[in-house]
This record gives sequence, structure tokens and C-alpha cells, in this order.
Amino acid sequence: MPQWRIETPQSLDLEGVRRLEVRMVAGNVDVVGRTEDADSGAAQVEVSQLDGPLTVNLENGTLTIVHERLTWGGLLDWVGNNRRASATVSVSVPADCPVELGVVSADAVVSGISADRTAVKSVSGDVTLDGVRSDITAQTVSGDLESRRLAGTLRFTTVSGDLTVVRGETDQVKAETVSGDLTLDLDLLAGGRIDVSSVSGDLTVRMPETVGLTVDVKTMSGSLDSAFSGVQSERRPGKSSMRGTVGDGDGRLSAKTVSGDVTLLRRAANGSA
Amino acid sequence: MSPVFGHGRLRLYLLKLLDESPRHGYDVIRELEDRFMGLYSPSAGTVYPRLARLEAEGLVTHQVSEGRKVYRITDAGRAELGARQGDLDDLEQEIAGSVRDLATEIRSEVRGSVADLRSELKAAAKDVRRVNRAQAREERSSHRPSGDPFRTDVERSIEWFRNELRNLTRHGSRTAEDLAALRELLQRTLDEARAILER
Repeated sequence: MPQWRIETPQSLDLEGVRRLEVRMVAGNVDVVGRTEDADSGAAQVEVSQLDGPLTVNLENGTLTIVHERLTWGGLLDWVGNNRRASATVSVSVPADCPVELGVVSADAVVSGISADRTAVKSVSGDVTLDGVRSDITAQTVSGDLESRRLAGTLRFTTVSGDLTVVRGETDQVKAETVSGDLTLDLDLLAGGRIDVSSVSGDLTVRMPETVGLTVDVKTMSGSLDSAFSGVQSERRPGKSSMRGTVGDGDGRLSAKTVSGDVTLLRRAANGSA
Repeated sequence: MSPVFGHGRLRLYLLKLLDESPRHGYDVIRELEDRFMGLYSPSAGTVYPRLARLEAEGLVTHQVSEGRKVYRITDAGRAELGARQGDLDDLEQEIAGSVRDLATEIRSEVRGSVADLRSELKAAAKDVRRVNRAQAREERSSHRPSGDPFRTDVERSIEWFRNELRNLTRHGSRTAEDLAALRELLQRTLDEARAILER
């Protein structure tokens, strides 16, 4: 079982990597999927800045990179702990490698991963996903999640982090937020679902004008607007709703907010974005 | 992976690869993959049209050998490469860079497109809201003509009645009998109003 305690910047070339787990406190963590030598599980770990030791471990195909004593459950406990632990870590792994990432305040980039599962937990660090094709689970407290070229499904839970999806192709987005805003520019696959609940966060969704969608939106005091003419809103004090069918009504958009605004926008078929 | 090449830089890099040695199209693709550790794998649909364009510009030429087109740089191509040595150096430096640089680039690109999208959708949302508000106003005004003085007066009277009644009930404790009596009175008043208006 190869294990390294990393105390100075260095680079490791590894083989036989099938899964990746990273748990870090502060700094940056970048994960990039590579297609070259994917069969042999080739991976590279590059640690370029370091304040406090990191442990790197490869066991049964699982590559683990952790700040010592930081457990999955311990992400929140770390807040307020003044032991220093910061690193800049860049990892390339086979593109089909499931990735599990936990950070306290570190910012994370995950790019070019096409795996069954991708999981990200962050307290205040921002998470950037680019070209991730996977079932994605993301939880943050105040960290933002920004995603481009997303494919697959996304479940996002946050307190105050914003979620932005630029040109995602998905059959399921489920998001729960207290005050974070949700901005989604999506191609919803046939029969796809979007489920959103928010306290004060706004929801803005744009979909192609050819989409098939059944809309059911409720709010207590937010404003509701739709650019699709088949969707009508009904305003009453303390309880407004917006319902209707677009195209064949195949997909579903359900949203509930207390005071968040919900806006449904239409993207022209020629796809200016 | 798109972020690596933009603004004609792939074209420049193709020239550089052909300057090193003549290659056929598939070789070029493999070479690109190798140099980018598999992080960038261009498709044939990306590479072949660019080679064809370079040929149309007279910067490369090809010979058919064993049924495959082998591309070779021309003097004009070498001159172009020389003229853009600075750009090429920058590009090579970036390629020699690491996953970290790639990730930094991705981060800033995604952040940029996120900011663009948010402002675009914010503007679009504003438009939709304005149109919807204008429509709602129009519908309201067509349903109840605001110029009707009788209606306006009735509205005002009801408002006055409601306020007076509310003030009367604000203080003191009320019994269930009081409430029942009050309800009965309101019901009687409504019946009388109906009798007047339906005459």
C-alpha cells in the first residue's frame, strides 16, 4: 500500500488509479480527467504550494489525498480550527474515475470527468465543473457552484451558495437552497425533471423554445414570470402560482419558493448563448 | 478540450508540427494527443479541415503516399511560422505547463461564461417581466373601466365602511353573541344592497 506524506512541493506519477478522494482544508484543488493511458489508470498528483502536510495514499485503486485528520464528517468542525492546512493540488486521473471531493475553504475545479458518480462537498470554497458527465451530487454552505458543459444529473444543496449552469444537458436537476440564487441554462432531455425549492433564492431557467415541459411553480411572495405563452401565472396575496404546458409537456419543472422570484426564459432554436 | 486552443493557435501549432517533419493527418492527431498528455484530443473533423485550409493558403502541401495524404510545410509556411515565433513561444510555454495552468484557465473561462450568462439572463428576465406587467395592466383596465364614476364611488364607500368597522372592533373583548349579531347585520345589509342594485 503506497503512502506518501508530502511536506514539500512535488509531483507523483501513479498507475492503477480507479477512484479519487480528496479532502482538503484551504487552497486549491484541480482535478482533470485524461484519456491517455486511461486503461492503466495513469494519474499524476502535483503539489505546488504547501502549508501543513498532506497525505497521499493509493490503496485498491483508490487514490486519496487528504489534509491529516480531516474526515468527511469533519468538514464543518474544521471551521474555526486555526491549525494551518493549505495546499495547491492538481491531479490528473483517468476520465472515467469517480471523484469525491471535500473542501473547507479550498476552491475546486473538476474538468473532463465522465464517471458514474461525482460528489463534491464544500463549506465556503467555490466549485467549478467543466465538461463533467456524471451523476453529480454537490453540497455547499456558502460556496458557489459554477458549471459549464454539464451532462448527466445534478443534485445541489446549499445554504447561501449560488448555482449557475451554463449550457447543461441534463435529465435531472434537483436543487435546494435557502438564499442562494439558481441560474440554469439547460437542454432538458426528454422526460427530464427540474425540482427546485428555495426560501429567498431566485430561480432563473432558460430552455430551448422547442422544449416539452409541464410547469408547476408556487411562491408565497416572489414574482413569477414566463416567456413561454402556454404558462400562466396567477397572483394572489401570499400565494401565487405559475402553471402550464409547453410543447408536448414531456419534461417537468417544479419549483417552490417563499420569497424568491422565478423566471422561465426561452432560448431561440438557433441557440444564441 | 477547447480552452487550450483559440484564435488561430491550433493552426499555428499544426504548422509547427509539420515543420518538425512531414506527417499524415492521423499522425498529427496522435502527436497533439501525446503533447497534451491526452488532455486535448482533437477529432479528425477538427484537424483535417484546418490542414485543407492551410493548403489552400499555400502554407502546406501534400503528397499521396501509400494511399494516405502526407502533409509537408512550404517555404511560405515556414515564413509564417517565423513571423509568429512570439506567439508560438507563448503557446509552447503553456503546453509545457501543468494541469494547474489548465485548471486556472478553465476556472477563468467558466467564471467568464457564468458572468456572461447571468447578465444575459438577468436582462432577458427584465424584458419578460416588463412585457408581462404591461399585459397584466392592459387586461385589468379592459376588465374594469376605471373611468366609471359609479364604480369608483362604490369602491370608496366599501373602503370607508371597512375602515370604520375595523376601528369599532379594535378595542375591548367580544363575545360569540356579538359576532353572530354582527354577521347577521352584515348579511341583512348585503341583501338590502342587492335589492337596490337589482331593481
